[in-house]
Amino acid sequence: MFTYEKKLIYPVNIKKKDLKMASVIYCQYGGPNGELAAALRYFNQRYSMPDDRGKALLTDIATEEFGHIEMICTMIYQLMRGATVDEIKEAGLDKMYAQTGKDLFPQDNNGVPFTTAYIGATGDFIADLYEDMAAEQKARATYENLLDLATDPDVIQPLIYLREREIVHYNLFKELCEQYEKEYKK
Amino acid sequence: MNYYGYVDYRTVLDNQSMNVFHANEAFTKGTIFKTLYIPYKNFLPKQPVALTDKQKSMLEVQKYCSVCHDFALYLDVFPNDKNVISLRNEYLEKYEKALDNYQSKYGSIVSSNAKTVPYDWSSTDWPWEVTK
Repeated sequence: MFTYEKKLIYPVNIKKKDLKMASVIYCQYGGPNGELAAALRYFNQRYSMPDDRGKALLTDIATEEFGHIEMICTMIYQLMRGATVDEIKEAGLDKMYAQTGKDLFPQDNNGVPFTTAYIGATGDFIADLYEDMAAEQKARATYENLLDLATDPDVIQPLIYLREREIVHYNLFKELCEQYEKEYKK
Repeated sequence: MNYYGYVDYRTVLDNQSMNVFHANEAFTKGTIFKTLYIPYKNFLPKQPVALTDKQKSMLEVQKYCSVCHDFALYLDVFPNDKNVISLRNEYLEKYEKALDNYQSKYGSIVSSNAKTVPYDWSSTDWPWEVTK
């Protein structure tokens, strides 16, 4: 089960409104390499891991990813807080506004709604772990793209933190995958 | 070391004092494991700054929680690493202390702490609001 703790994994305190930045960060909420995809991918794949190491790692990383979703949503929320309709139009978010108002919605930067087509399940734990490694690298690259676009230190710090977590997860998946490849030869 | 910091995990903790950051630095950089920290371009992480005692107290909770979690992921894959288990146990104690300290002063983070009238879990800060 899950118990909610009223705290973020890492602090997000963005004081300056920036709708453009909010709109680009959306890719890490509902985009193909985003945190929602990561959380669901690992949460779903953990059932077919062959032993405790895989079950534990996918459960714990999936749980952390749910915390990352919360950080990303917090960033979008704070970047858009108090935005007027004129500001929304100016930032090119008018189409999004017409559909969802000022609510957050799991979608990518182009307004494409989140889909589970972004996650894989093969019935083969080695193939699944390779997908997970690729997913972490793609998320790492996406965070680097976001860092290139960011100017506000309040935005940059959480992005740096989230990017580093992708590197940590990648390495753990890789380690586990190598152990499994040695131990479970077909 | 391979592309983007792939390291052989067996070397991560050969020399504890050399390869593990202190909690503050670990929280700032996003990992406790020195060999896994790979900065991007000139983006150097800065330690989160607390402007109030409440923020400071929350940062302590987040810091130790983050460090314990990082060790936990490692232990999922290496469940027999005595050194890491004992190091994590030290940090778990610090985490529990930090959590108690925050909740006794500023109210509940976890609902199991909310035992008084009125029920304070719903009225404490929501994580997505800017904390003061």
